[in-house]
Amino acid sequence: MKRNPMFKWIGAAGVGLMLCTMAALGALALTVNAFVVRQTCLNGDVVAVTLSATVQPNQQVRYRWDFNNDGVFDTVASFNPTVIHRYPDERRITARVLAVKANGVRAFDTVTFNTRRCGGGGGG
Amino acid sequence: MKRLILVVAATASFLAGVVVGHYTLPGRVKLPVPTVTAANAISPSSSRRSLHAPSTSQTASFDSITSFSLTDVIVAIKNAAAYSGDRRVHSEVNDLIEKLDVKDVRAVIDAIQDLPNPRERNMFTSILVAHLAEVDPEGAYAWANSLPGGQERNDAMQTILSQWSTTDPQRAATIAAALPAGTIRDQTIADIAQRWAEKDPRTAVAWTEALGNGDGERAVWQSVLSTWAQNEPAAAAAYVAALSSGEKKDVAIEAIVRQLASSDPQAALSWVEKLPDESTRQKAVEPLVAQWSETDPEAAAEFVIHNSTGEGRENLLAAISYQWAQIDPVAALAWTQDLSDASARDPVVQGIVSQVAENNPSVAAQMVSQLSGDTQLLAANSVVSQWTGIDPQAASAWAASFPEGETRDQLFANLVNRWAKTDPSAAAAWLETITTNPSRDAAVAAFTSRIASVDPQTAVQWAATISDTAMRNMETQAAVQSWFEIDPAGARAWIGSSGLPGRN
Repeated sequence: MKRNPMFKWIGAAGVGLMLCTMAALGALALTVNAFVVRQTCLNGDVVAVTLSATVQPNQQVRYRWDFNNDGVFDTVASFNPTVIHRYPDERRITARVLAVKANGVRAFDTVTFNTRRCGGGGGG
Repeated sequence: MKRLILVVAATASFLAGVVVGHYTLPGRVKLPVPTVTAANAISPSSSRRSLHAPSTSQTASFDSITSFSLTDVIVAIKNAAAYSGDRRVHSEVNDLIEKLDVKDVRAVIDAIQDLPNPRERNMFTSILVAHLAEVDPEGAYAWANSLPGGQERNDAMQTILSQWSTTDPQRAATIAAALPAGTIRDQTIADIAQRWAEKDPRTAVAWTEALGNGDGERAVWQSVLSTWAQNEPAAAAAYVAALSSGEKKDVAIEAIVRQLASSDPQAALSWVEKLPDESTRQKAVEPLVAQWSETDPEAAAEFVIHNSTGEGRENLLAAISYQWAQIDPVAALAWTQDLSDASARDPVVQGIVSQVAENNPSVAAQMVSQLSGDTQLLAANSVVSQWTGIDPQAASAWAASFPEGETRDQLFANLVNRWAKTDPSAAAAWLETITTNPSRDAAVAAFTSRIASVDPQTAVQWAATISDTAMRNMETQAAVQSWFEIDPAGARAWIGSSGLPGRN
C-alpha cells in the first residue's frame, strides 16, 4: 500500500510543534541553585554556615530557607538569598531553599553538606 | 563629474518632493465666512493649502454660527472623511457637531453609517454619540439600548457612560455596574472610576471598593486610590491606614506608592511618612524602593542605607541591586566600594554579579577579581552557580584558576553540586581529570551527596576515592544509607563484601 506523502509533513510539523512547546516551557521555567558559601567555627562545636542561592533565568525572586529540610521554612521571604545559620559541627545537613516569583511561580533546591570539625574552639 | 550628477539629481529630487507635497498633501482647510454653508466649508473642493502661518482665527469662524442644517453637517462629515487622518479637519468637524441641534444627532449618526472607511465612520459616530450624551444622557442611553446587540451598541454605550460620568458619575456608575460581565463592563467601569476619582475620589473609592474582589475590580480600585493619593495624599493615607491589616491593605499601599514613586519618589516618600503607624510605613517602603530603583537606583540605595537596618536593609538592597545591575552594573559595583559594612555591601555585590554572570560570565569573573575577603567568596560562588548552569566547562576552568585553599574547595563543591544536577556524567568525567587534593575531595563529596539518592552504588564507589579519611567515611555512610532505602539487599551484599560492620 502506498503511503500518503502528506503524513511525512504532518509528522514533521507535529515534532516541530512539540519541540517549540518544550522550548517555550523551558524558557518559562525557573530553577534555583542552593550552595554553601563558607563555614566558620564559632566555638567548640558550633559552625556558622553561610548559605546562598541563585536563580536562572536571573530575575527578582524572594527566597525562603528551611535549614534542616524538615518541611518548615525558617526564614521570612526575602530578596536577599544569603543567610547564615548555626549548626552543630560534624553533622550531615540538608538545607532547602524556595524561590518565588511575584506571579507565584516557585522553584526548590536542596544542598547537602557536612559541617566542619571545629575541634574544641578553633576559628575559621 | 559623477559627484556633480549625484548632487544635481539629489537636489532635483528634493525640490520635486517639495512641489509634489505642497500641492497634493492635505493641509489646513480654509474655512469660509458664515455666509457659506458648513458643508462647503469642509468640502475637499474648497480646501486649499494656506500659504500663511496657521491661524486659529479661521477655526473660530464657526463661533458666530448658532446652528447648521442637518444636511450641512452630514455633507461636511462625509467630505471630512475624505481627509483621513487630518486632525485639523476632524477638529473642525468636531466643532461643527457641537453646534448641532441635539434632535438631529441620531439622524446624522444614521446618515454616516455608509462611510466606506470604518475608522472614520466609528470616530465620527463616537463624537456624535458623545455630543448626544453630553446634552441628553438619558435619551442617549435609551437610544443605545434600542440598538441591536453587538460592537456598535457596545461602543455607543461605553461612549455615553464615559461622557455621562463627567456630569452624573453616580448614575453612570449604577448603569455600568449592571452591564453584563465582560470586557465592555470592565473598560466602562475603569473609565468612569478614573473620571470620578478626579472629581470626587472618596466616593469613587467607595464605589470601586463595593464592586467586588475580582482582579478587574481590584485593579480599578487601586487605580482610583493612586489618583486620590496624587491629588490628596494626606486623605488617601488616612483612608489606607484605616483599612484592616491584610492583603487588601498591602495591595492598596503598593498601588499608591508605586504610582507616586514612578513620577516623584520624594512625593512617594513624603506620602509614606504620613502613614500613621510604623508597620504600615515599613510595608510601604519596599514598593517605594522597588519603583525608585527603576529610575534612580543609587538614590534608592542611599535612602535604604540611611533609613533601615538589619535584614530589612539587606532585603531592600538586594531588590535594588537587581534593578541597578540591569541599568549600570559597573556603577553599582563602584558604589559598593565605599561601603565599609559587609552586611550592606554583600547583597548588592551578589545581586550585581549574579545578573552579569548570566549574560557575560567572564565580565562577572573580572568583577570578582576586584573584590576581596568574604565579599569575594560570596561573589565567586554566585558566579560559579550561574556560570555552571550555562557553560560548566568554562566555569570549571575558572574555578580551577583559584589557588588551592578553602575558596577553591567551596567553588569546586558548588560547581559539581550544580553540574551533577543537570549532567552527572559530564560532572563525573570532569572529576576524573582533577588530581587528588582537598578541592577534589570537596568536589567528590558534593557529587556523592547529589547522586546518592538516585544511584547510591555509584556514589559509594566515588566516596571511596576521597583522600580525607573522615570525609570519606561520612560520605560512604550517607551513600550506603541511601542505598538501604532504595535497595536493601544490594546494600547488604555490598557491606558483606566490603568488610564494614553490617546493618540490621
